[in-house]
Amino acid sequence: MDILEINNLSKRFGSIYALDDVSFSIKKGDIFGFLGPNGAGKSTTIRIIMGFLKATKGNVSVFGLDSHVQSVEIKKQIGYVPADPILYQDWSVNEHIRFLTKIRGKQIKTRAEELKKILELNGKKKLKQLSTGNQQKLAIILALSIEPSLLILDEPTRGLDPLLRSTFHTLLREYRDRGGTVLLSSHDLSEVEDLCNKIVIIHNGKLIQDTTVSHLRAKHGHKVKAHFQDHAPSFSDIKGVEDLITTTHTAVFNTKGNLKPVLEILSHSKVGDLEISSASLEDIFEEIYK
Amino acid sequence: MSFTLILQALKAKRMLWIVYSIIGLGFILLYVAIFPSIQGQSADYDKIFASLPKGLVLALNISNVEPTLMGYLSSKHFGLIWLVIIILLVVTYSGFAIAKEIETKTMGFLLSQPIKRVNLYLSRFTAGIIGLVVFICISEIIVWPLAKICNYTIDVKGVLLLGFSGLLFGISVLSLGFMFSALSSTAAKVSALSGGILLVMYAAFIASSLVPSLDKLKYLSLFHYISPGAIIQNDSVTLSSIIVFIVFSFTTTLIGIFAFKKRQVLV
Repeated sequence: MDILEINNLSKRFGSIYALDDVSFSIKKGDIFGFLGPNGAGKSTTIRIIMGFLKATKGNVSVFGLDSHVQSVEIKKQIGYVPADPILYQDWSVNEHIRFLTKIRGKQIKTRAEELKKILELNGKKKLKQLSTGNQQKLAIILALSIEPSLLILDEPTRGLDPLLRSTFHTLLREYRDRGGTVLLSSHDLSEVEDLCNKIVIIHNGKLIQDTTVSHLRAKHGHKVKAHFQDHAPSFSDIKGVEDLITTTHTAVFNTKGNLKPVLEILSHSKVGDLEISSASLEDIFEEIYK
Repeated sequence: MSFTLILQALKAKRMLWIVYSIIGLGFILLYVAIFPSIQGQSADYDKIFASLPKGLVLALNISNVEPTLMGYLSSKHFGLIWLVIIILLVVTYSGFAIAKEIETKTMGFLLSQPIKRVNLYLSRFTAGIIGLVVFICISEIIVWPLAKICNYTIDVKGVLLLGFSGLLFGISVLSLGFMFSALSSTAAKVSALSGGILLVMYAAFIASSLVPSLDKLKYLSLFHYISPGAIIQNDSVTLSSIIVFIVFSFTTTLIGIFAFKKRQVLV
């Protein structure tokens, strides 16, 4: 079942297209990575989903409802963490939770208290007394405490330290295991790689990849680093070998497709050290934007 | 409308209402304190006012000077200073209510909740009206108990009618401010646009009084429909004034709601 469906979405600001004919869908239970460099159109897409902006063309449907027309109904089931969560600086953490309780219902209070403990956030402090990371924590608490059907996260871990990042990832996995769906916009490729089962990559407002992490890795092959006790053999004749750098005893290259011919050469050589790794999203990203 | 949103708006801007109410009260206390000395010199003041140019008298709204406390206050305070305080208070609040939240991006938090934009607009507007009622009670209606304490003769009906008229004027300015707040992305723009329109209205009001050929211009000005001196003297508020304030408020509120519903919010 599609939780979110985006069809031919375009958004123009004056003569500039921030989004150009973007389409993708998210299924229930997905942790969906939304990747792209700054200004690619990620936040614009999210703002249209949230009903802050109106699409120039195309439509967005969430839970089968039109995101512009039935925005309030949709938001009852959406938890949202913006890229720069701006909350009320004169309110305390607890005041934010109280306000949300009044808007969303009393049932969120228990979960908010739990999350406050897990993320170690002092409820009495006013926002202006909190660091950016702690304000980010509150935004995460507010979004997760409502137990939404869809969680939209726009670079949620920016400003969080590695330990908290790990705690947050655990919370996301638990949320997914309880049946939740996540749209995660991020710059952090390792985070996306770690969490997401599906990804789309957007560049200059256009969708350039809509795939799974494993498929993308398979498509973009492996990175091979080998150290030889004798002279390094030649890999240049093998189909699919790219970016080959050889010295007397080492060979470093990327290879797409079948690894068999590479392994065959390696098996006939005196290999001192060998590292074969799947291409990381970072490598893929670099290749796409090259 | 949502009680939570109304309460939130009142709480968030409580200092604004408190400070302006104290200023309004301060003026009243000052005038009440000096009234006995003014009362003894009313004949001299009448002569001074009679010698002033007509334009200045109209600009300061100091007609109908009476030797009563309310007559004195309506000519000295309620005719202009009080209205200016109402305008400043209400326009500042309007700017904060929507545009400032878009400017500081806190609107993103509200709009990501299941809250209808109309609901948000009307709740904030209602909070403005509640704040205005409190301000009018503290800065105008309070004359009644103060007069009783000081043993001055007071026309209660006049006090209440002037408060009612001030409330209608304030709601009109609030509606205008909210309309601009729904259209703008900064509070400064709201102040500039609302202040600009009110200034033009005030200029039209003065010009219509001074130049006979421009007489009809006064109907375009909100200031024409509130005359504290006349309210105190006649003990009534004209029906046409009430209708104009209501129609003006209703129209600008509808435009504001429509604009806020349709506007794109970059938060």
